Amino acid sequence: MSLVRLTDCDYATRGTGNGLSGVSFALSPGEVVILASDNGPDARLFLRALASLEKPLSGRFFHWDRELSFDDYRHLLPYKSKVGYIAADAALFGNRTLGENLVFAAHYFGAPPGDPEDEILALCDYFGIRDKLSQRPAAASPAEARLALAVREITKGPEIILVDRPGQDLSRERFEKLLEVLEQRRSRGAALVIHQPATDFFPGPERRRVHIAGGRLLEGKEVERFPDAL
Amino acid sequence: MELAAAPGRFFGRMGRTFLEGLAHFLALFAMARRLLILTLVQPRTGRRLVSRIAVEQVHFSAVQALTVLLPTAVIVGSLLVAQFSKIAGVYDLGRVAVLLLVREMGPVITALIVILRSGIAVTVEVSYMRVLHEIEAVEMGGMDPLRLIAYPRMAGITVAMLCLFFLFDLAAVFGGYTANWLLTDLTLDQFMSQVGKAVTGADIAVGALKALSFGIIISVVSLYRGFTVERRMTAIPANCSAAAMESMFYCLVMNIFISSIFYL
Repeated sequence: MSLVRLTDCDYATRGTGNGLSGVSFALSPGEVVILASDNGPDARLFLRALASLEKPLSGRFFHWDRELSFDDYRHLLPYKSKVGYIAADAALFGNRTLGENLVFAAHYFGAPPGDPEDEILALCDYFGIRDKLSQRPAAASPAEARLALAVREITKGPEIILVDRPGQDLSRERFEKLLEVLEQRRSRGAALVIHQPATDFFPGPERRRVHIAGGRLLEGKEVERFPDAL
Repeated sequence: MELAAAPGRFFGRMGRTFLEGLAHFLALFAMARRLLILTLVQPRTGRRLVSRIAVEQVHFSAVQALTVLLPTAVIVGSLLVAQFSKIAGVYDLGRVAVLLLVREMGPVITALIVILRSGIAVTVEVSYMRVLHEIEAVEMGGMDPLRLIAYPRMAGITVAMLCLFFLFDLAAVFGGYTANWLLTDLTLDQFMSQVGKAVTGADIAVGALKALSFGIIISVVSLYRGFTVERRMTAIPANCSAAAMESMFYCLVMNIFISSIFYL
């Protein structure tokens, strides 16, 4: 049974992209997919599509073999809460501190307001952003804001983690720490889809390569036609 | 050939504009309906956080607006009475002022102040949240943006509108008395007696009904405009302007509608 399965999905063009057509894709728990593309907006569109942030023009979208309905956004909320989305267009709330951002959803779902959970604090310590938790996102550096976003998305216990260019804004050391944390999550069963135009950065041999060219998803032998892009 | 096609293009454009307007109007109703359902059927989840945001909205829309609303009400009340003291009999002052203030001017001027302070602020805030993907972040947290963002703002603005309407009327009557004291020899007892005779329970109830409906109109229009803004910064100012004008227009239409039902 697939964690996520898309069948013949088409997505409208965003920005300078081609859009996506005829997307059929399945993702299993614990799987790592490295995504490359000849067009950045198409790769980001694919990540947004997996996060159910884009409504398919046609096709079907399954989560654990249950078809998702895009007719009412409320039906998608339980699925979205299981997706960790770490991308340039994933936002922190600008009028709250980084610390408040990290506990916001937990507070909404009934956790008492106050100090963040131990897991959140441990990750903030690990990434070296604990002393920044009282700052608002605008006052933090891009790297600190991105790591805070990563902490928020990782600690919500996602089944799937979607990452757009994990090294963006990060120093080599922090980038490796982020990959290490992602690998830990994968070993606990989370599936990873990472958009990065290089395939050898992620630890472990079991990587699946997917390439998007001309708005179409290519896998397996088809990917060999695009060695330069990878 | 071109000339022959012109009427077709004209009617085509008219038809499209009408259909777009109708779709927009129906979307506003749909949003109002969803928010009213959320008011009646409140899920347990997130109640504390949503209540806190609603209280913050009341504080912003009502308490912080008092420094603008009270002087405005006193000025409007005193000006109205000062003008009427010249054209009407002295003993009609209270009745005429109350008729105009409580029934018509109070709710409309209060609505104008709420639109200028809170309606525009809500449109700007929600528009920014949409452009900066913060609404998507709410959804990715598994939270309903209508419940977390829209409902508390609507509740806050509507409650604030109701409170401000009553305070506006009180302050305007006070302003009216001040002008009356300066311009005529009417005593406070006589003035209040006129006010008491003029104001009926129905006037207060109708005024409250207007305030309530204006609060809902302002918040729904402001929120809808914010939630549907195009994802670019330059769209926000035009969107705010449109929200303010649209809110004011619908409030005036609703004012005429309610007045015609109860007074005409």
